[in-house]
Amino acid sequence: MLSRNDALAKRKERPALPAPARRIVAVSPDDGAAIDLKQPELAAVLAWLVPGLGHLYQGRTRKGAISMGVVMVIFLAGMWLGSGRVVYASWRPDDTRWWFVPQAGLGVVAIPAVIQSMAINGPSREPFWAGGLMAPPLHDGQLVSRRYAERLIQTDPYLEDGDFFDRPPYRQFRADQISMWHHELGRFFELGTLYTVVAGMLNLLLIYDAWAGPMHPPKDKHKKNSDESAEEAAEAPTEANAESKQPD
Amino acid sequence: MIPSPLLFALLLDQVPLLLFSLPLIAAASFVFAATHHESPTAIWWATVEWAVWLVGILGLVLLAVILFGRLI
Repeated sequence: MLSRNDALAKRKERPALPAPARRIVAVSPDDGAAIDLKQPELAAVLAWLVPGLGHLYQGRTRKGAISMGVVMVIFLAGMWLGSGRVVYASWRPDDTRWWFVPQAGLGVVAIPAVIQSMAINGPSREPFWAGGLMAPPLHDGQLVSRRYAERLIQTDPYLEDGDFFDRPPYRQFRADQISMWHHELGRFFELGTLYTVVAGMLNLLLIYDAWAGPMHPPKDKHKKNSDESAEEAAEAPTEANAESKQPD
Repeated sequence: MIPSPLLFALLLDQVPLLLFSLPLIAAASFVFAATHHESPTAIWWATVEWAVWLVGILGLVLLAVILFGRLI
């Protein structure tokens, strides 16, 4: 028989086993199967960039593909309704675009809009993408590059050469483009905004799902509570039992 | 009794958001279901359940708004 010291010495001689790889899993509320979340933080970032991409990275292919389709269809429908003008980032005091905050739930939207906004307010005075997609509307007195002014005059039927003063090396806008957009699009400006906002907000839920797995439906909680109360009821002595246990 | 298509057309004329809200309700129902379930079958049934709830709640709100609009 080995003494305690021998056993300890033998244990020390044994090579240390490698630490098991840390896997973060969630439990499916439907069948209790484990869902490998891989790197949840990376999945969340991917899900923010493109809806469903985080799920695809985790191997939850069907859920990711359908989520991507649903959210992107709603977003693109909103862009179509709003003629591509409803998503822009603007923090001017007279045109603070608060709707951009929920719209930014889609990274594929937020990043280009921020780049366009920074570019048009930067030294070049024109959007990074010359087409002006997701660029904020021009306001009265805003300086823009000659090239961008000419492009707008050619492509926008509501704008004409007289809407820009000559301020070398720039041109100065002398109207209010957001009013023109509202006049042109009517209720479709609001509808497009609503669609893109809802798409961004729904993607926040998908980001959470990619990060932490599915939320358990409330009925599980109720079931658990009812199970617990049933166990308590079984353990607790009833009045009838208590009476029957009393000695005669 | 107003026939259903006529009632729908009347509502559509009075409340255009009715038509435009349907895709949003469908999308929201799917995402709510997808964030609570993992198996495709469970997601499908939960989507239907969420859609019924959302249409019911929003329909009641719409009805209340229309009725209040008539009264005031």
